[in-house]
This record gives sequence, C-alpha cells and structure tokens, in this order.
Amino acid sequence: MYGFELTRALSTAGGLVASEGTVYPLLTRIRHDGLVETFWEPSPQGPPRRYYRLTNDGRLALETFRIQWRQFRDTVDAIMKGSDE
Amino acid sequence: MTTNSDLDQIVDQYLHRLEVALAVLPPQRRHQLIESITDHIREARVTLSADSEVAIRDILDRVGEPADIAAGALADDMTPAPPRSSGTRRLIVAGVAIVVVLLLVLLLVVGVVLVPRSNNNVSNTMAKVTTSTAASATRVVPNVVGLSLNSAETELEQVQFAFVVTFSCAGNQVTGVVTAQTPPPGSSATEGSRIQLNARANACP
Repeated sequence: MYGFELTRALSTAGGLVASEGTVYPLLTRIRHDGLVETFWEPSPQGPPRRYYRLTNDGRLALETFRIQWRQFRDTVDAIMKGSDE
Repeated sequence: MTTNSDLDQIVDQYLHRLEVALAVLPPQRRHQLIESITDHIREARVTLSADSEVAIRDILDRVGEPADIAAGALADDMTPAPPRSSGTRRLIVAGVAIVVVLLLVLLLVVGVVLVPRSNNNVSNTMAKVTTSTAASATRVVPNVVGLSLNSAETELEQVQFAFVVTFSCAGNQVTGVVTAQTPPPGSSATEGSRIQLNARANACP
C-alpha cells in the first residue's frame, strides 16, 4: 500500500485519527523502528509512489499485539459482564 | 479565475506552514514527514476530476492543521516517558498504539506475497544511527544520478541525508530514475540535510 492509500483507509475507518496528516508521524516512526520498510514503484497515473510493507519484525510485533489484545479484551469483557448483573 | 499556479501556491503555503511547525524536529525526520505529506497531497490531487480551489482546500483540511501534525510528531519524539505522565497522556499513548497496530494490520492484508527478508539487522542499526544525529557532522554527498529511486534512497540514508524528489513527465521513458541532484556529488553537506533530486515519471497528472 502507498501512503495515500493507507491514510485514507485509516481515516475513513472513522474516529481513530484526527486527520490524515497525523498518520505520517506514526508511519515514519515505525519505519525508523524497522517494523515497516518502503520501496518505490511506478504508478499508472503519475509519478512513482512510495509503498510500505511489513518487515519480519513488523509481523512479530503484530503477532505479539494480537495475543496481548485478546487477553486485554477478555479481561475487560469479564469485568463488564460482572457489572451488568 | 483561479489558475493552476494559484492552486500550487495554496499547497506551497500549506507546506511552508508545516515546515515551520515541524522546525523543532531533527532534520531527517522533518524532511521525511514533509516528503510524505507532499506526496499525499499530490496523490490526492490526481484523484480529483477537476482541480479547483474548493477541492484543494478540502484535501488540505483532511490532511489537517500543521500544528496538530507537529504535536503528534513531537509526542512521538519524546522517547523517555515524561516524569509526571498524566492519565490523559497515557490515554493518548494507548490511542496512538492502536493506530500503529492498525497500520500494521492494513499492511499485513496486502503484503501476503512478501518474500521473507533477512535485513532486520540493517534496519535495526539504521534506527540506532538515526537517533544519534545530535552532533551535525558534515558528509560527502554521494552520486545518485542514474540510480533508481530505491537505490538512491538507500545510498542517501546510509549517509544520513534526507531527500525530496521532483518528477518531470517523460513520455515512455524509464520511470523512477534519478536524472539530476542538488547539491552535486562530491560536495559536502550537513548530516540530515535535504538533497533535491529530479526523476522521470511515466505519466503526469
């Protein structure tokens, strides 16, 4: 995916980012952290584009987050359920 | 009547405000951010059926206020956590983490055919080098004319330079090849400074 595509996808998902521009500081950070890398590809309708792709480190970070997120979600759900009754 | 150059000027004014707002960031990071946002605006303009002032202002509104982008970049740049991290600050950090993860998820969805790469060491050392740019040393500008954008980028980042590319339309010529650079190869420039590249594009918006 290229930068424009990514930020549009995130900002239309709703409620998560203040504006499209605020996604770029995060993108440059995870690039510096080695979670994503970029490469240039020609575009059919204009100048070449900078594409982003996950590195192995990025996949690993995502896997770790998936596990942590499930635990977090289950804990919160269990507490919420308790307060419903 | 609003001409095309009037519209370019609106974009330039916006980018100038962004540059001012980001002035406190380390140069390489600042240049990379400005480059990404310049590209974003260009891509957004390509999708327009007609370039009009209203459409351009709408694109810039969606990109957001330079001050907000700067705030995000700065919050991110504070590597050691502040001593008194308030509840709100923690919440913001959590929100940022989720957006980062969603970026990774989006990239996972499209990156299925990714070839396994063993360059983790490279990216790690690069991250380390980048954080130590406090003392601005002078470096020799490498020659990147004739290289593909990908190779030019690798060369320039190795010696801590940022760059910005201007594309010219060139019919059916080879795309993404650097045709000129300023400052010229062999001259010296401060670490983190921006090299101006010219490259050919296969088509123009």
